[in-house]
Amino acid sequence: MDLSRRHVLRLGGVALAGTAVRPSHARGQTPKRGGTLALRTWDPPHFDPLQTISYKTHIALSFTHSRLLKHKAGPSVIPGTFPIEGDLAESWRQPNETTYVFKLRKGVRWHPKPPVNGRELTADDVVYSVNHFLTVKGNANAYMLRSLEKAEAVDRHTVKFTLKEPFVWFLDMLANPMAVAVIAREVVEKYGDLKKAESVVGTGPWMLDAYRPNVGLTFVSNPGYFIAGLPYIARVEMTVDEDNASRIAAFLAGKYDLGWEFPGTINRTDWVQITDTLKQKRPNLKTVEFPSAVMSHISMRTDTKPFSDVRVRQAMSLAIDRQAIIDAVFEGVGVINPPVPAALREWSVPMDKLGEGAKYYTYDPAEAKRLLAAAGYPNGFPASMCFTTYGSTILVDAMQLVQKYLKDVGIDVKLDTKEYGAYISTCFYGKFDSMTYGPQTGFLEPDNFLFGQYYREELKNQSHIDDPVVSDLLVRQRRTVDFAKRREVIFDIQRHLAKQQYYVQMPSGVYIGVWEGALKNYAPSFGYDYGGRLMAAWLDR
Amino acid sequence: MAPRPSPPLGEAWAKPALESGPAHPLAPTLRAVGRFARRKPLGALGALIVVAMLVMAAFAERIAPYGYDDTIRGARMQPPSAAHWLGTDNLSRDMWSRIVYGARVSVTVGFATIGLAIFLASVIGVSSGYFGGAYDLVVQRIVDAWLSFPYLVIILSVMAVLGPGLLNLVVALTILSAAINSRVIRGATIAVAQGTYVEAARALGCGHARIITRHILPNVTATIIILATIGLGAVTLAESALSFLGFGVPPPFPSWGAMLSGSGRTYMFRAPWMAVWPGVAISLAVFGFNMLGDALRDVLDPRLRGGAR
Repeated sequence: MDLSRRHVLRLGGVALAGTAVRPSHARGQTPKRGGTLALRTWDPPHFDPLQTISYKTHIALSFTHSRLLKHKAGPSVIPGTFPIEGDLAESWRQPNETTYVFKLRKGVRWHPKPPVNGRELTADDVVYSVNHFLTVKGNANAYMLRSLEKAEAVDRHTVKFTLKEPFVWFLDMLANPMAVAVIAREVVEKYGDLKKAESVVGTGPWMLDAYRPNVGLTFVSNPGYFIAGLPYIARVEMTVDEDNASRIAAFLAGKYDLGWEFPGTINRTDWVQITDTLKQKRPNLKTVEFPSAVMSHISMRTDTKPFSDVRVRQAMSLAIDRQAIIDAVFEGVGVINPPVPAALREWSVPMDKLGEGAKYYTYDPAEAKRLLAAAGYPNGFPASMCFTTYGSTILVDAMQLVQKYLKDVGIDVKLDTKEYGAYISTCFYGKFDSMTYGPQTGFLEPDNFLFGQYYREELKNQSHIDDPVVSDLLVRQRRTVDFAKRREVIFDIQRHLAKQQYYVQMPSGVYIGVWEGALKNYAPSFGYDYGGRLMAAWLDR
Repeated sequence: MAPRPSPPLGEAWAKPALESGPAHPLAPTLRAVGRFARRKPLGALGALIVVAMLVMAAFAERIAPYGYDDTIRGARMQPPSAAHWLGTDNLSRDMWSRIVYGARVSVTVGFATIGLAIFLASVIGVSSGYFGGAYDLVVQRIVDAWLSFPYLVIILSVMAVLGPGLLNLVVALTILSAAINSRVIRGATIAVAQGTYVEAARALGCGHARIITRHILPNVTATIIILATIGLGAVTLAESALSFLGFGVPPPFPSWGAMLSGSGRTYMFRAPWMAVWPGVAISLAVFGFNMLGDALRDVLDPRLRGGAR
């Protein structure tokens, strides 16, 4: 199967449109209350969202914590788009370019757990959370709100944010499940940090009832949740399952209500194998397809030789046969990514508009060798590549192909495989000698992809880039309010980056979002906000 | 050509009276091999498998039609055929070639581990059994403590600290095998050390080093050889298990265990050959080492000589 990126994007929309009809049928039904939703999960390293970028932690906390804003979810939202709506905020306004004022909902209460025991949430809690997010040591996501100068409580239910400079993504950042989960000061003071399961105290629709390390998590609905009547689902059972064969067997047996892979999907390699069996065993399953925003890339030490030479980086990109990777690991259905993943349909520059740099996304080993020779490496060079498997055979397979393609042009890559925790604390943050290969967080807007990875001295600037042109454009897009103009700046950034190849981007697969037909008013999308997507869903069984 | 030295008198007398011509220098060896094959056919089969593995490992570049990481355009997950005897995998690589290269990992890990482990075990076991006393007590309690941990816990702990890789794999497996084997070698040493010839050597004023090297070691060699051959099967299996768990040789170099655990399992339903052939290779290797070990034990252990199989 050979689909172009545009076909796939259209397919995503069409597929979604198809499912959007079905919930309209469901909308005629009265939501049922209760029931247990069963999901596959990953064992979180800990529960402190400020001390890890791990999806394992952020997904778990999406059930229990609220934010000021959130992304609208449900069958009417097209995957890859993220309209914003209030979460703790009832309304907001922007008096000028650098000021935002949020009115909080009244009567929001913390989970009935110590040390807060269900007290009312106030503007001070929001201010504390934001300040803690920005100042606590080790928060790799702090850059998301770096533009903030001051957060202040105007009154008990009003918060005012003053920015140092215009930052047009401010609302998107607040809505991002990786940013400010609102936390209580008492909890931080009691536990020192938020790593323990006991410290999982929020204002979200579910409460953490039990955490069994390496086994699973149980959430129960929050009886005092601030949106009356929600959530409908009484209990969420999340099972840690690190073995794919076991996950397939469990899904076939009906143990999971969503696809077992992030974010509620099934890998196409597995899907192709079990689809006939599923038709017989689980005929009510629903599916929707949309490109993944998780993009792997090769990062490299561009501050040292040989990667400081742009010709070497361009050669590396030309050496990679992206279509062959799509064919081999994504069953032929995938998208080729420019610097902003194609999944972000509004912000990713189409390949035919990428300009001069577009050629570096084609497979041309002869030109790669020529560039290497011109850079002074006619016989290539040895290199090492930091890597972790993430427990994914797809990732391991893709990495082997990358290694092979680089070897074909003379770059002899020795793999330096690390354990996940060691990888995240070192290579993921640019602490490596030569190269790193791995997936990047599937962010929900382009600023997170671009600013974090390309702005000088950012924590996620894995390739150690210090390019004044990029830095200038990155700051400029943050100040451009007009949507069309901002998009053009972001397209310009991608055109520049395509020529520079600071990171060699790999293709992404097209997700198959899968869910049990009995789960109503649900639609998959990417992002960690499992809780947000399930908040208004119900089980018809 | 230099004249051959005359054989010692006893050897000349021992020669057959009627000999039609000079015997081929390999003839005695071949006769011994033939005798071994007749007496121990399963052992001979095991030896054949082991030799085949050694040949595959040594001459992988000549035997394998493709490189272990060569991708063949348009040949993704092809079933076994004349072009690809064992089929191809999901990355369009020839399975037979990868199995052949995979033998290199099994053989390297197997022989290196057993070599190192047997050396360490001999040093620990022989010294502990020979000297006895407080030294033996201390050493054996350490070995006891070591053996009290489940083997997978020890190996995984070592691998977690050292990281994946061939050398680290050998180190982890060596540490474990050495402790187990040292206990057996110690037992054999204690039995041998009570022999009257050891007592006589000591009475004649021989030092410890001479007694150990000239009298103890030669008499526990059979035990050591048997431990080594039987251990090879176990180590091959352990290497596969560790590769299966992701602690083995990093990809793309093939290891049978990793081939089975990675894509082999992922595509088990659509391309069963991707899981079957590495599984068959592991089974054959373990079978070969074990059968050879069993047969050698029967042949070298005087108490078991005379058994038909």
